[in-house]
Amino acid sequence: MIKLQNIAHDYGNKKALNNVNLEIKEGEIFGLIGHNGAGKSTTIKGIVSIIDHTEGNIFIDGKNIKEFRDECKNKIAYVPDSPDMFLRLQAMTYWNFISDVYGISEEDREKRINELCDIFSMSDVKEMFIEEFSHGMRQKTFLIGALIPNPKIWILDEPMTGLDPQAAFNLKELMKKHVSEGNTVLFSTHVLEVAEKLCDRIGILKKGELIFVGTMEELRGDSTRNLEEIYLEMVSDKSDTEKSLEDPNLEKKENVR
Amino acid sequence: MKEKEKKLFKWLFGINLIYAYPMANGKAKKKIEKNKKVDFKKNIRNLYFFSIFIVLGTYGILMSLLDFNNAPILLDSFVLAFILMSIMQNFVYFFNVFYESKDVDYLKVLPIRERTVFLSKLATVSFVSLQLSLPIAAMMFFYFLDMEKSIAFAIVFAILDFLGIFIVIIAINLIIMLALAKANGFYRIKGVVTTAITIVAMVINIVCIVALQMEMQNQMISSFFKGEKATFILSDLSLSVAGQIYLLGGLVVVGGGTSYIIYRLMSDGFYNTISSINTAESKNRKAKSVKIKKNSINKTLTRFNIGYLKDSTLATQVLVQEILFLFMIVVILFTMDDQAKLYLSYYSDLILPFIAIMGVLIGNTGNNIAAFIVSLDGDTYNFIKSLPISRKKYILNKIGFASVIQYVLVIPAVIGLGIFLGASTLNIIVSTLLVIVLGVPVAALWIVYDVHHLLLEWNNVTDLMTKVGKVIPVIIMIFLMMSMGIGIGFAGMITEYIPIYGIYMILAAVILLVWIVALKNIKNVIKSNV
Repeated sequence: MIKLQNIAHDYGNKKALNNVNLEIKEGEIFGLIGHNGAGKSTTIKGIVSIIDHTEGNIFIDGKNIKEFRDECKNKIAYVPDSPDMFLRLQAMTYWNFISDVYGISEEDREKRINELCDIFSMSDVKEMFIEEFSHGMRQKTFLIGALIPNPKIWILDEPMTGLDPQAAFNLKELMKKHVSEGNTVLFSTHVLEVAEKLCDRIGILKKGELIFVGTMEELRGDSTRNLEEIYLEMVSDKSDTEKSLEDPNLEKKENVR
Repeated sequence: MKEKEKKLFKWLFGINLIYAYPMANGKAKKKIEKNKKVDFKKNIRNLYFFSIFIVLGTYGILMSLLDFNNAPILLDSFVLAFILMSIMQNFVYFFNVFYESKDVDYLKVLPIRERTVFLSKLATVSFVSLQLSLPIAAMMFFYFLDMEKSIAFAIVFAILDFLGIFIVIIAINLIIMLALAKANGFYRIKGVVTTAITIVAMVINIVCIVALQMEMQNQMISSFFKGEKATFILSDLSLSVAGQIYLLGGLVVVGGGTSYIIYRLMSDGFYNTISSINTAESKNRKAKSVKIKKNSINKTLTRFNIGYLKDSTLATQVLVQEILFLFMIVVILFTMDDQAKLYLSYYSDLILPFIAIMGVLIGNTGNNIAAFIVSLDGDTYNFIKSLPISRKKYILNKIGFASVIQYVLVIPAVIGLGIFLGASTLNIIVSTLLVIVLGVPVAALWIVYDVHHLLLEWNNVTDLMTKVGKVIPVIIMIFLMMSMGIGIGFAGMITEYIPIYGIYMILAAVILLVWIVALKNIKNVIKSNV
């Protein structure tokens, strides 16, 4: 469903992504994990057309986004990491706008907006200006906006940030339901527990390189250590020799890519 | 100021300057990308001195042409006009930096004294706006030379007088800001008040400049024919060293004293004032019931753009140049004598289309909305790129919006002038069409500039309006206004050599060329996904 082929991206002389190859299939929740500046947002921004990667191609349902940009974008719902946008609009106006963008009928949009507002406890604040919302409420506003059209692919950049426990739980349930219907969810996170509980597969980015792709079980291998320790070791800057001495399975894991 | 506060003041001043000079910031970003060493201080210093050089160079040439010796009162009239102009230009800038900046929310939680934050902002606005008042220094310098003072005297006292006058300008701006901050209920009508002040200041400016010019003419005539050399306070006090000392003393005491008192009054309640503004603004905003219904994307994008104009300072600034153009036309109409009217009417076939073109150009000098309408979207710009909205639709919507904004006042001005001059209906229609036809590609070219020089992380709208630089748009505007005067003056001569239809053909060719260039660039922008 989403295919990244030899993706590289430079910010001037700084390499943000280097030779990233990845395929995310239908019916899976895929988590992108990595430290700050590892390249998670740069990867996502390329998939959602905010930037054109310096090298490589991205395919959505087999179609190159550079050639079929609008068609590809119609299949994607995106939630950015910072919800400080459209601040001068009322939440309802924003949802109406998004519905127009995706061509949702009046009946469907009303149904979806009401459903999603109930799920995210936003029914009482529909008419308020986004500017007046807290960070979490803004995040919910953009989540609702992304979910109204319900396209096949959801791409969420740090979606849990700022959400209250109930909203976070509901979002996770929605993600699971979405993939159970044969769709795809790609999201980035710093929270390993979320990735562990939610993702079918994860990708670990380190300084622009995808150093691991696989399931949690594959990541854990035969190691007796917890996930956090394994992850931290993988993304740390220690030399490969040092790492191998600490965990003989690591070399094997890195080969997965 | 304690050592720590001094250090923090320097930090804040430096950070404010980075926002005040987006051009230096852009250069730095490019250097960082190329792994080159970045020297912000040097970048800003170069830009600052470049602006000073341009202002002093342009006004120096103009001022050297004036004959202060025969009409010393020219100095008083020009200095007064520039003081008024500086106050008008700086007011919105002051207001934005002090009360509309996003940084205050972050600064108020830090252990920095409120006064230090206030002072750093005051220092920044003073430093930046100083460039715009520099023509006063050029005027003083040439006045002294005309009055046969030595070059050393001219340089020293031109600088000192300029600084003294500049302190008074700052004091007046602070008084206006204090009055607004303390005015009961001001915040509820902030938009109206800000707009009104800018417009009134502009009217006063233009009326003053015209009145002063008329007075100057009278004075000059009496100087030549009666040998009298009329002087006023400034020109009189500038004739001797003693007079200069009185003048400087007066300026420092009045300007400096007032500034200090206002600084003490304003700086302590600075954060409270900002909170009151924000609270009052959100209370004032009424949420309307939104019906779930289909709209066209264009309509929604346009409504989104119109939403920006609810920011009063932006709305005012966006229309400033057009208002200036409109008032210029009105003042010309009401002050010209019968002979001038006859001249303008006789050549209206040429003059009206020419004024229409100048109206478009004056409205597009670099600080117009087209030059920052994409940057205005901030983070939203990137998000819109992720939505299935065609880039073509987005860019064309921006061009349409920016074009219409400039039509709002220029078209009525052109039609009004046409009717007043008794121009033919065809001429009025052609001139109006010229505004429409030329306005679109000019706005498009500015949008191309904006996309290539995006500034999505701005602090207040002034950061965006000065993206091209604070000085260059003013210089271009003055150059265009002078060109308009010269063009009108030479209309009779031009028509003697080139038939009117020949001129129309040349105009059409130039406009076609502008369209071709604009279309080519816009196509690239649409294709590029920048």
